Amino acid sequence: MNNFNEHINDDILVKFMLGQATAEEQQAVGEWMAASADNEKYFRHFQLIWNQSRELASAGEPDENAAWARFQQRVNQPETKVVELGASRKPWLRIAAAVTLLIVAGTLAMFLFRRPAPRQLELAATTRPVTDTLPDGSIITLNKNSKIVYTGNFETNRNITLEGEAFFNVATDPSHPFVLHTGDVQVRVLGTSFNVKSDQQQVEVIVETGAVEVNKQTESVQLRQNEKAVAAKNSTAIVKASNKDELYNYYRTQTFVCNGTPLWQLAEIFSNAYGVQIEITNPAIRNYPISTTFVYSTIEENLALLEQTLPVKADKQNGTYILK
Amino acid sequence: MELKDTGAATALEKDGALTFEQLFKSHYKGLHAYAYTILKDDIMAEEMVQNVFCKLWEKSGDIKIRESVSGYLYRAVYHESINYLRHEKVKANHVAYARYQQASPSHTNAASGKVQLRELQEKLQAALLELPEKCRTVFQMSRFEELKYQEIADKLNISVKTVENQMGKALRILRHNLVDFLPLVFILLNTVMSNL
Repeated sequence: MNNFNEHINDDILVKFMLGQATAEEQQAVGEWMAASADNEKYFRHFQLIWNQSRELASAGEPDENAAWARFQQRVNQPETKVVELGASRKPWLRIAAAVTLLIVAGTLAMFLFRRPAPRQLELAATTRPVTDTLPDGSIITLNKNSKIVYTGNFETNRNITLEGEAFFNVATDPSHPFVLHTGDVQVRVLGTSFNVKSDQQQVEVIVETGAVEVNKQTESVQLRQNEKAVAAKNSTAIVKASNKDELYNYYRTQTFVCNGTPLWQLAEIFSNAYGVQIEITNPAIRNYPISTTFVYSTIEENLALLEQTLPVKADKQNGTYILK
Repeated sequence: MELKDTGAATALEKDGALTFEQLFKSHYKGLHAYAYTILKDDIMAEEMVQNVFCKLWEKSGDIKIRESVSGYLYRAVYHESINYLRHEKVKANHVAYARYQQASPSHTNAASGKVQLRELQEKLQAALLELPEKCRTVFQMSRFEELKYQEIADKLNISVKTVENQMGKALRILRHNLVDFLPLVFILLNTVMSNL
């Protein structure tokens, strides 16, 4: 780069620019710059690069205390992994089982799937929620009438398609991004746990721990703990909001946790959970706040408890439950 | 949370008797800023820093940090971010994002000037990725944490002379990679300024 006859040392030039040069060096730079227009231009290039590079910094102010809390959560998480604990107890049994399974599955696969393309695997829940572990160690709870599809090489290709509703506890692996597809929405996951509910009208994503990125066409929002996003089918926008509600979790925790939940919302969840019709005929009680925890058992038991705690009557007429 | 009695812990203590929490909190902002300038994504930047601390935490039994802890952390965040960036899918997203950004309409002179300036930012971003790790880390600390040469030397446990060399080298490489683009920017900067 030394195009000038007496080119000054770049180290000193940078020191000068940053105001850290000695008096002697300052004088040398001054003389060098005065010597030719090219020299001055060279220095102005340095200045321009230096000033413009400032703009590359993040506008946000990161919070080290919040980050520390997330870190603690993360390093404490792996200890709760059921899969690994089970594995350490009887490793020989596991190896033997794995080998047998491999031989059986391999032989079966040779007969059944003589295709070069990676196999499509499917996990479906029909009448009741199902919890399972994916090949990469992620844990999934599928709500009933829901299914996921993924490929046989899931450990290296963490793409997954969801129909219905599911809760994911995603194993951290930064070199293989976990991407969930549902309808025209993609959720890019960065090692976290979250719930996705996809139906005819909308896709709803709720983050329990960590962070995810929700994409739809050109729209993109990033969600953190206790935040949710809703992408309606008939709109390109993704609406982000905070989420204090734990009700969405019912199929995983087997309890309906209400925390000032309006009656209409609970009725909606009940009708989804039990596959029944529930109507609220009295508009005055629609928004009645409920703060009770119900066990996921039968609709009759839940409604009986509701009658005890609230001034509400539940009747069954022609297969539909009427609340008034 | 108590600090485990491990190799890293003793290395940390040599560095001024820091607990893991103190180490995390005192370095978080600087490391996050570093990952951000490489990735341009706040959440991914945090993920990179979290990954580095996670590995340090898990492997604290067998990691031996021979130089300064700061030097180790900055280097680890650099490599973590670069590795992530190399992932093809991310690369593709990055290009798509850049195209999307550039595609936004601009009609006035001032606006097109701003687009050109953004192009400079992108070229700068790319040029910064070309710097060798040590050079990049020194530049990062000087530019984005605004540390004096002596402070950088202390943090990385290197001499002030080395900091001077690395800074000179950084600006020389950046200028070399951007020089064809710079005269145009000078003209644009003047138009933008007069239009503002």
